[in-house]
Amino acid sequence: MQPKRQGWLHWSDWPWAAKLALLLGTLAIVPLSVVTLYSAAVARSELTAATRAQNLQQARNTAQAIDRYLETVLSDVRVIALAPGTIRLLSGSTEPQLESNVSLFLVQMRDTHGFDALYLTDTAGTVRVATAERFLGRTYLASRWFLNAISGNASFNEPRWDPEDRRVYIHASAPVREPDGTIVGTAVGRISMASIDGIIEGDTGFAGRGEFGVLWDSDGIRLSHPTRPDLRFQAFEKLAPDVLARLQVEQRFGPRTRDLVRVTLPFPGLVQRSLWLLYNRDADPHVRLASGERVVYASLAPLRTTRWIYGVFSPEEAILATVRRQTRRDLFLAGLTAALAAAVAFFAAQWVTRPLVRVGQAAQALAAGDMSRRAGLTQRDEVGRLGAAFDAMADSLAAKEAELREHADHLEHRVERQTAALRASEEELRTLYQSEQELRRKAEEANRLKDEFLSTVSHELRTPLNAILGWIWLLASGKLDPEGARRAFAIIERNARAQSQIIDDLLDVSRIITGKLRLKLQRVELKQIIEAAIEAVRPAADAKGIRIEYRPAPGVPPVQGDPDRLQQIVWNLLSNAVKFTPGEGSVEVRLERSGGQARIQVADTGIGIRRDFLNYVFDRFRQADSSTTRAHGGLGLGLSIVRHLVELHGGTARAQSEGEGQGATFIVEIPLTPSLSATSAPITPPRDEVLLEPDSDQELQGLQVLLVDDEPDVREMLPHLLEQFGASVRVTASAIEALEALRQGNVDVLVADIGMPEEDGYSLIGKVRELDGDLRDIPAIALTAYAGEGDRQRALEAGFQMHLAKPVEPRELASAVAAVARMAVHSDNLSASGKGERT
Amino acid sequence: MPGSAPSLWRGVALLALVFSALVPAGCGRGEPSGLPEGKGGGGVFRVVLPSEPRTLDPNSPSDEIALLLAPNLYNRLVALDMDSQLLPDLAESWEIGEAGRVYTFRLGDGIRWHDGELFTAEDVRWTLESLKGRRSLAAEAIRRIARIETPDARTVVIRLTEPWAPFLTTLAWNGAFILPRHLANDDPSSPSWRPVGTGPFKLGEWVRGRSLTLEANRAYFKPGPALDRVTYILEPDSDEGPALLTSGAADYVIVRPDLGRLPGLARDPQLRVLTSPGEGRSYLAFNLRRSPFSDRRVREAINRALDRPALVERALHGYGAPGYGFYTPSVPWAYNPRAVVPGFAPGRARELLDRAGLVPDRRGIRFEPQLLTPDLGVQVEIAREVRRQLLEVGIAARVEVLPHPEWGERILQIRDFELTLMGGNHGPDPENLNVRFGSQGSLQFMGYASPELDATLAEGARIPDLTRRALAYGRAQEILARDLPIAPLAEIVRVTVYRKEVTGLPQVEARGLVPLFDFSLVRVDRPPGGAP
Repeated sequence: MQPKRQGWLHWSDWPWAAKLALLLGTLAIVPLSVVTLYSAAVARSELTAATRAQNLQQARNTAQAIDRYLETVLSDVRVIALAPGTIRLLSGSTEPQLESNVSLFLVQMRDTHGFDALYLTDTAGTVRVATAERFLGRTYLASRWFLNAISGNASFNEPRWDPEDRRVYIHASAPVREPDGTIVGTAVGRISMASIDGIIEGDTGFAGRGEFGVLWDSDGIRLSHPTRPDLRFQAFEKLAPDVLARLQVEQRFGPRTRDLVRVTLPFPGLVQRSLWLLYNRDADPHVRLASGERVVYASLAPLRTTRWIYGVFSPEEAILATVRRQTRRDLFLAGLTAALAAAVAFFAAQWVTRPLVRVGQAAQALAAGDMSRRAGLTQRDEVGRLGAAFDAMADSLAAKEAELREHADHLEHRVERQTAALRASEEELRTLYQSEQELRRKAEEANRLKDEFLSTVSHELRTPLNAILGWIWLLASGKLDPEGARRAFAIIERNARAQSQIIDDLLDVSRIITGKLRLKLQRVELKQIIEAAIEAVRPAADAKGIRIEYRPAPGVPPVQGDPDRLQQIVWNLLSNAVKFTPGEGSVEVRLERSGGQARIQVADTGIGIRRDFLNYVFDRFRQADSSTTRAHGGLGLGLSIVRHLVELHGGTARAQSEGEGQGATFIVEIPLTPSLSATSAPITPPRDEVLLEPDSDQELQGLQVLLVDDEPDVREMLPHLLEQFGASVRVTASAIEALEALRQGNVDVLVADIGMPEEDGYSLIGKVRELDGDLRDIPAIALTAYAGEGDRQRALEAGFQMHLAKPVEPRELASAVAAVARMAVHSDNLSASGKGERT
Repeated sequence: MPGSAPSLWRGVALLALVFSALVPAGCGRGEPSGLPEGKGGGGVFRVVLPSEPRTLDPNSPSDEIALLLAPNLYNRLVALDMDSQLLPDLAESWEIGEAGRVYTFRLGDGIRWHDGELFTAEDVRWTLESLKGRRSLAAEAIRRIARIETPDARTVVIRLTEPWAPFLTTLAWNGAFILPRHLANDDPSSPSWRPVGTGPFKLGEWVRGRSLTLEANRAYFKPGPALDRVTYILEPDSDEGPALLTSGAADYVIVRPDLGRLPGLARDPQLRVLTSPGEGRSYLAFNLRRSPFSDRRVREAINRALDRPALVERALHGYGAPGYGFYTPSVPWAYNPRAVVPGFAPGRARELLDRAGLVPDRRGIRFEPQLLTPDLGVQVEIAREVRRQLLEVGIAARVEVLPHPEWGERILQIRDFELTLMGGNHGPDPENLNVRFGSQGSLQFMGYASPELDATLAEGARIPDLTRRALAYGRAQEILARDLPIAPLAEIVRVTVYRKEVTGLPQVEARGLVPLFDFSLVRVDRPPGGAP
């Protein structure tokens, strides 16, 4: 008993409902919140990525459109430069009409191709022909576009202020060459910034999160910014002083050049990134820019025709707003779900534990001595059946206690009477005392069994309950996908079934222990029984990919038995085989006749059984080891139930295995002839029948019987039984003890078990027959679960006079003891002539 | 079950921890990916070099070839990209204080020399101090350094004797590569000397007269090098370079091929030809110490006799612009388009020559000046065209083609010449005008000395404000247009010819990221079993 702790502070003291509510609430809120926050982050990064990708596509499309436009412009200028008239004119030809023809050509090009102006210069930069009179004679020697073209380059040039036309223009220029490649002048076309604005303004495919497009040059000066026209010719970041000074001296953008001094909405780092992108067009085109508080994502697309960059910008705020809304909603839902989960857990746990608490309270009261308390559960589910079983057990305990009390009363009464009669005999007193001791011991033993039973039941019921609750939590958390949920339901169902099975097993065991298991006997065809059992385990086997082969031998006669219990036997063996056989293995079921027995053999290719464990596989609550218990679960009751049921049918059950990993074979043998009752013991040879006629209750009067059995139950039960018939019994637990008792003498009949640890019954009888004197001729009965015909033969050959199969009817045993005792007397009479023959 | 309560809570806590670990921590940072951070693996880059460097001393003014290699072996405090914009190099940032008198550089962290020694501010101080008093392309900047302080290993404070605006660009240009102080006693002329720098490559094998190999410096402090190595193939024949490219034996020609070959090369699908306006110009320089060039009328006559567009067409095959002004239009802010030579007028030229007493003889020849030119393809062709055009006005120039070093010695040191072709880069800062026309300029070999020009140039260099600098240099160009110490001829284009497998050249993809000739971002994706 643990020391009592104060208050409710300790976790383990909390009621399950509170534990589950807290756990489930926590387990729901923590992952839900984390998942919500996580998905918010993911959504944010995904939305950002999506926005970036969309913006990049947008930027590239627009950049391409600008490129296409500029290329068209440049190729128009090239066409002019390549026109034969142009070349002849600039080569100094004086053909009549040439100049006016070329001039007309330029005007046509201007009007059809959207130029602001077109002109041709000679190598000195002087305009020779133009689309308007006012250009003629102007000299552009120092113009970048002229220098570029005269250098042999067809190119676009940075926007320049035209001081005479008082506007900013972009010039496309190309050299005019003679066929030998000599440059004789330049062809120039100029366009206004508005034509580029037009392309960018036409860019309307934005996602609608505040995106805007900007075109800028490699110095970081905005050339076109349709949403903020006031920012045109303003720099993205502070220009280097020498660059700024130079642009101002050049008056590159006319009066607007002075605006370059102040930088509105700066985006530091953008220019360097633009330069890198011009260097490596495969470089990361995305950039996150901070302009004060304002953060934008920009996706950049460098142009091919010039060193300009077009970028689409998205304010981060616009992206985040969407995500924030979503996150707030998700967090609220997460809180709600967690509260709901906690509430459901609280009530569900209460609902589940309340009957258990009642069983527990009843058990507690029982332990405290209140024999009247019962769980009193009315429901018929597993817990209800547990309660009923508990109540039945309590009934039996109460009955025993009542009996004890009555007995005590009776004793008291007798003592009184004898006191009144002054004195009873000392012998009687001692007998009474012994009897009382015996009864008390029985009561204590029953009590101990009850405690053990309760603790095991409690433990075993929790195991599947844990799994059920665990998966319920997961379901409640809402995290499971449909596939996961399906799996969860399957697991919960499986565990519920397992629990139900455990409870059934418990009930069976409880019936077995209390001796309340009754068979409803009828003629039973084992073939059908086995088929039905196979069908029952087939889904489980299929799920593991285990093949079940059934080989019934023809002509196995029916047995006398309880069909439900027989099916339970086979089912238990089969499900055991399936449980302990890994996937892709096989299970083979045979039904055949073996002498007077029907033999059911279930062989698997599973994990096998350790040799030293073979003797214990049929024990209650035994599994090979704790790790096996964990891996395969279960109470370990199945095989013990099998043994009990088989024995109730007068049969035997045994296991064979070559060891671990070698598979296991379980063999059950049921007598064929109608044989269950004591009136017709199947294994008793007919010649003994005459000897086995019981004559009276005291037919063993005066006989000293020595009993050897390693099973305490037997050692306890048989003496009582035999004493009923007047025998006095000495009990030993092993062959060594038995030999010792024999040597002490005063033994008329030896009743020995065969299967015993260390030294078995065969060995014992061998040693007995080697003893000196009369002792070696002592009549002996083998009382064993090894009930086959072969076993019987072997027992008789080993030196036993008689072979009795467990379980044995009391009267049968008494008759057998009486018979061998008589045989001994008979043989004693013949001893003079018989000794030599016997050895 | 006593004792299970704590373990239960531990379990719950653990569960929460596991879940929280699954939540991704934040989103992308701003780091560029897909960059050549992994050193090497980008193949071998084979570069045709016109001749062998004499030394690998990056600060020697007399070793032009070494300058083509230097950015791969060494670093500067700051560098310039091909558009003449400043790039951080060893210094990751800098500040200019006291009205342009103090420059404070913050050096990068954990930079190591090729031999594993840590680079510190002391290396910078030692290098710049040891350059003092030596001839160098950065001499004008070095000369103005009053004091160098190194308050800590990563900070260099340079105090100038006077505010001088071109200071940074001059340091960034050439002649001020930082060298290791711990190897101060090594003699670059000794045969066992090996260059130790901080650059993206280390010197590998050097087979004199044939090739020079640089191996990737895998500890380089900046992105790259992407390449495994750079092999410089020494090929003095200027026709052979393009041939090596076409045959697939080389990937890049560092010196511009003959312009006449460009249309042909541009048609080769294996090659890429990139032309762009350069800062290089070609001009005809007069020896003002000698008659008749000391006479401005003669200089004006020669200027008026030159048909520059025709020269560009014939000598440069049109790849270039006629040179009318006195600075390169590729530096637009400093170029003064109004300060130009007098217009093309052969009649007026003849008239001026007559007046200067240079009358034609019976062959029609007025005089026969010597015209020097270095043996560089384009200059020789320009010299022939100049000769042809001057002949039109009766000047029969005797063209003398000299090997490049000898030509340099003739004009810069001996100064024995009458007319010479002169070329070269005029960037990145108009301070170059001072180098070429200032009375003390290192390339001012004409004997030209104009106190007015000197003062104007000094003003342009002193004022930090770029607008006012532009005005000063504009004025300087007007003075030059008036005095005509030279006859500008042409603006030369920059030409880059390379195989199509090459990416990341400083002029192309890596433009704006690395200085010219720095191959740290170059990759060569040679197809397997491809070019021989």
